[in-house]
Amino acid sequence: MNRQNLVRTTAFLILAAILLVVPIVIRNPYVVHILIMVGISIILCASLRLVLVTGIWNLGQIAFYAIGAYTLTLLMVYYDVSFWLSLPLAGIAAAVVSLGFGYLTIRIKGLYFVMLTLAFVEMIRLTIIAVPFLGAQRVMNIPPPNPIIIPYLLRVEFISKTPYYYLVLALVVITLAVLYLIDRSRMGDILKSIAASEPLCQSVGINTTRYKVLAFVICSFFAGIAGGFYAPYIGLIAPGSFTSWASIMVFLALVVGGVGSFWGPVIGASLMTALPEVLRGAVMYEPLISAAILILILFFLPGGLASLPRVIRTRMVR
Amino acid sequence: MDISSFVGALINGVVAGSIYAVVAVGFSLIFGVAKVMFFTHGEIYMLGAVAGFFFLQKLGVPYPLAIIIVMIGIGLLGLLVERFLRPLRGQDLAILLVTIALGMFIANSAMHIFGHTPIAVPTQVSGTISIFGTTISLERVVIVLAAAAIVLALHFFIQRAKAGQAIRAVAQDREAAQLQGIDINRSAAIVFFIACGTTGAAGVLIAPLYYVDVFLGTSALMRTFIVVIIGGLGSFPGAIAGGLFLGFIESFGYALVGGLSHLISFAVVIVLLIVRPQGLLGRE
Repeated sequence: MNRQNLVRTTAFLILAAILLVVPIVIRNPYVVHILIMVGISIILCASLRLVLVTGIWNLGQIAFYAIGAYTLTLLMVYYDVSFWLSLPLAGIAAAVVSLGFGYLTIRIKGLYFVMLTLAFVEMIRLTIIAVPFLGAQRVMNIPPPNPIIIPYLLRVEFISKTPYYYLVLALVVITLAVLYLIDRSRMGDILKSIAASEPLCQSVGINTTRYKVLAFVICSFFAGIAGGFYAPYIGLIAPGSFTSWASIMVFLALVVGGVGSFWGPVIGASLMTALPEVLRGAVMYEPLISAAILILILFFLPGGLASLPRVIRTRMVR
Repeated sequence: MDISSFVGALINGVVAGSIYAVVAVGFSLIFGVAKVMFFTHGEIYMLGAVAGFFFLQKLGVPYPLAIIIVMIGIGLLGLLVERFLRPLRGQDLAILLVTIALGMFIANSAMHIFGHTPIAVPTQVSGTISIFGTTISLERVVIVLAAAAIVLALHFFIQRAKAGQAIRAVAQDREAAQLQGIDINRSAAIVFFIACGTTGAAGVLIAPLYYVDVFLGTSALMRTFIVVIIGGLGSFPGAIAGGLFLGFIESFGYALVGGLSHLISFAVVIVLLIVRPQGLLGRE
């Protein structure tokens, strides 16, 4: 193991240790709440990156988040299904919808796809409003996850925020691990080369449509999982949380962090979720500040915040 | 649906649709010529409506004069925006995101200046006329006529004027236009000036009819999407037809199926994007 790797591993372990003890050391539920929201945002942004590196401009992430949230709610509220079964089903429901949607639409390019996905978000939201079974305008109350009980050993009840924190931490770790493996695999390379030149990929015999749909489905699956976690955590959902505006904000957070780097979405999601809380005194000005950050980054740091160290290094060398 | 509510829905549809058409023509022009998906467009319309309130109510400027002042003022703002976006030309996604950020900027600034309570602007044109036994306020007729005049003026400018022809050439083939010595920066600037100016004017026009607030922008942008997708992005006649179409869908749809009408519009949009992305009137 060379020196750089050693430094990286140590830093990683320290970060992991900090993340594990945070809710024990910091007893402030408000801080824990923000960390949980950061976790949800990381899942949304990191999975969205997978389709963006493929060159698909998907602004519809919140639609699949909503599908996950409502699937879990329906299962838990109407059919008394356990949370631990409902959560994967929430992801699968989002994946199935995205498979159909992606199969029909994935060949549509660029700005047209942007409009299509935004229209899809609105359609999902308006469908929720229109269908009484889905709660319509009404707020749906969701029970907390079923407790984890291992006889004589462990009993976890979802009463305080702490168990939710560990649950979202686990979900983030699983999501990032899966996405990391995909990113470093042959599939990751294929996805990136599709973005670089789709005709070239086709000419060497790659079924680009299948890969693009696959990336889209994986992305939506994780969005569905994030929604499935969000619903019982917040305890109530209403269509007002799933607007095209929310979808745009997920996309902005990803771009602020940087699409080019694997850790970009983690940085972007953390910053853009925590920012409104840091600015609590000036919350009215938060959109102004977010907009300014975004404009500055797009003009001066097109690789996002994650590219900052590299940019500084090349400047120093010159 | 009896005959009077039918005529009522028809008139509401024409009034709303003509305004949608003006706004969508601007959006479509910008997309066609500058290849910019202008997400700030909804906020430009909102600024027009708020400025309309300011000039009509606070300063008591006469209606036609207010329209002209706002048209020029917001047109100049459009020029600034074009200049701001110029360094990013060719990067579609970056431009899209910058226009979103600009929209956030404008909406939030407007909220700090004007507050967020909806304001009613007093009627500017009084009197009624009677058509087919239905009484219509003269104001609505004036709005529709003014919108039609704006669209017609734009049409003649683009078809006949030298600068308009240059704009059409850029929309058709940017490189070929450049080879002919057309300054594409100048064309883009003119388009932004005109499109933002007329959209702002649409905001002033409609201000006395509806409540004005600083949150108009988002819904205006969503409606513009629907209109330009139905009519075809970049298509001038498509934007007009799409605008009127949406006006009718909303007025009749609301009378018939209530809130479902919005869902239907978006479903139509998605199906159209899949089946016919160039729109009903657009050409491939």
